[in-house]
Amino acid sequence: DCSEDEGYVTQQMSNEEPTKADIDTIFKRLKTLPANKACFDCEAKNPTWASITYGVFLCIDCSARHRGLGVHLSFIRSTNLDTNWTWFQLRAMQVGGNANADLFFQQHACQSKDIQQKYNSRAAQLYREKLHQLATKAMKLHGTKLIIDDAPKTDHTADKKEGDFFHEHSVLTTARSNTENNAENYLVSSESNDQNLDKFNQAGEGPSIDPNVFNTDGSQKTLDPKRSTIGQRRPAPSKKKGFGAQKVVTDFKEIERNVQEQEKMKEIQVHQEIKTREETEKQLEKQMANLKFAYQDINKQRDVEEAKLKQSNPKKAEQLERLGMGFAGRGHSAMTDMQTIQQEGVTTTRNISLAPRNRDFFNDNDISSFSSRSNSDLPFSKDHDLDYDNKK
Amino acid sequence: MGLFLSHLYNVIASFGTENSRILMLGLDAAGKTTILYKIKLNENVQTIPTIGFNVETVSPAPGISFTVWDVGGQDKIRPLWMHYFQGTHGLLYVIDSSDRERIQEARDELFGVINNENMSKVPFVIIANKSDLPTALNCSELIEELNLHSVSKRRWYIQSACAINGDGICEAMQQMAKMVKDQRKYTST
Repeated sequence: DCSEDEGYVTQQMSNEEPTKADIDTIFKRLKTLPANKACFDCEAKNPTWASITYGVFLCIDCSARHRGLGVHLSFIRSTNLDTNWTWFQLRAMQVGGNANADLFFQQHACQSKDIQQKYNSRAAQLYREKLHQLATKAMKLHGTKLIIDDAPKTDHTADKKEGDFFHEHSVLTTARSNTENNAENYLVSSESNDQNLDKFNQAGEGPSIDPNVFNTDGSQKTLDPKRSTIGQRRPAPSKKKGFGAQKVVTDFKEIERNVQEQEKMKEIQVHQEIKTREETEKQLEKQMANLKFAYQDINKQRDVEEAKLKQSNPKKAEQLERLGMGFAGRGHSAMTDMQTIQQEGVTTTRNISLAPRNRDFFNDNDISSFSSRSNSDLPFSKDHDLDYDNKK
Repeated sequence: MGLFLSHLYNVIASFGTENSRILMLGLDAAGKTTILYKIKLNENVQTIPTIGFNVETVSPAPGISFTVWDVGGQDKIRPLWMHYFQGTHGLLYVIDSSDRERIQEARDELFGVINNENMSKVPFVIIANKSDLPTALNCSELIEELNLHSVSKRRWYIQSACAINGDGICEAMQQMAKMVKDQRKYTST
C-alpha cells in the first residue's frame, strides 16, 4: 500500500496528462518490440489491451480474465479504447513490457497457466512491487518526457531473432548467404541495399521509424530532440521492428520502380512500334509507287513493241490485235472496238457519223442496231419505196 | 397457505408487468455485463470487455420486466452513452467499489450522466460491485466519495453487491423496479 501511495503521489505530481498523440506514439513504439506483439498469457497476436499492474500487453480474452481478478491484482486498460492514460501508467508500460515480465516470472519459477494461481503467486506480487518502483523511478527521472530509454536486454535477444528474420529476407533479395552475426549482417545487408538506403534518404517518405534503421552504426540520429536523449538501445529494437515495416516499404518501392521501368519499356516499345509502322507505311507507299511506275513501264513497253511490230509487219499486228492475242488486249475496250469495226464495216459515211455522236448507252444500242439494219435494208427499202412510189 | 398466497400474489402482480427500459452504465471493468448475465441467466459468465452494448430483457423478480441496456464503459466509448439516454426509465450505475483510484472518475462520469437533460427525472441505483474484495469501500464510504449527499430532488439508492455470488443484485433490481414505478406514478399524475 505504501508503494501504491507513492505512485499515486508521483501521478499527482505530473499534473499534465499525456495527450492522445503521446499515448499513440508510446504504444506504437512499444508494440514494435517483438515480445509485445503477442499476448503475455496466451500469445495471441497483436494484443490491444494492457495490464498496467504488470506492464504487459494482453489480448481481449486474457484481459477479460484479468478484469475478473480485480484491480488489486491486475488493472486493465485498452491501448486504443482508453484515452485517459496517466504518465505513470505509461511509464509502467515502458519500463515493463512482456519480455521483462516473462523473464521475471521464469526466474521465479512461476510457470502456471492458471490465471488465478499465476497472479496470486509470490512472483506476481514481487513483480508488481518491482514494476511499481521502476515506474515511480522513471517518473521521477523523466517526468513527462515522451520517450525514455527502457529497452531491456531481453528485448535485444528477441530483436536479434527478429533481425535475423529480416536479414534472411534481405539476404534473399540480395542473393547473399545467411550468417549468424545479426548486427553485422544487418549492416552488410543494409549497405548492400544501397538502392534502398538511397531511396529512404531521398524520398524521406518512409515511416518515422525509418531513420532509426541507421542508428546501429551511429551514423544518423533522430531529428527529434526528445528522442535524441534516448540511448541507442531504444531506437535499435524499434528499428529492427521497424525494419520489418521498412522491408515492406522497400519492396513497394522496388515494385514501383519495376513498374516504372516496365512503363518506360512499354513506352519505348510503343515508340518503336510507331516507328516501324511508319516505316512499313513508307515502304508500302514506295512499293505502290513502284507498281504504278511498273505498270506505266509495261504500258510503255507495249506501246513500243506494238509500234515496232506495226512498223515491221503491219498486217500481222492488225491480225493479232483483232484476235485479242496481241498486246495485252488493250485494243478490246468497247470504244476502240466499236470504232475499228465501224470503220472497217461501213462504207457509207452517214452511219459512221451517227454512232460516235450518240454516246448514250441505250441510244447507242438502238441506233447502232437501227443503223446496222438500215445499212443492210436501206438500199432495199429505198428500192422498194422507190418501186412503190413508182407504182403509185 | 401463506406461501400459496404469496405465489398467487406474484402471479397476479405479473399481469401488471410493465416493461421498463433500464440503462446500465459505469466505468470499464465495473462488472456491468457480468451483472446483466447474472440477472438474465443466474450464471457467472466470463465476459470480455464490451465494445458496443449488450441488451437483454430480464425479469429479476416476479412482476418486474426490464429491458436492460448494458453499454461499454471504455473511456473512448463513453461519449456514446448519451445516445441511450432518451426514453430510459431507470439508471443502474455500476461501480467497482474496490477500485479506489478511480472513484473520482466514476463520480465525474455519474454526474455527467445524471445532469444530462434527458436523464434529469430518471431515478438511479448505484451498485457498489465487488464488495467481496478486501479493498472494497463500503456504502457509506462510497456515498462520501461520490458526494451523493449533494444529489437532492431525485430518487437514488446505493446497494452494495457482488455479481459473482449474486449478493445484493436482486435487492438492487427490486429497488429499481420500485423507483421506476413511483416515478411513473409521479409523472402520470
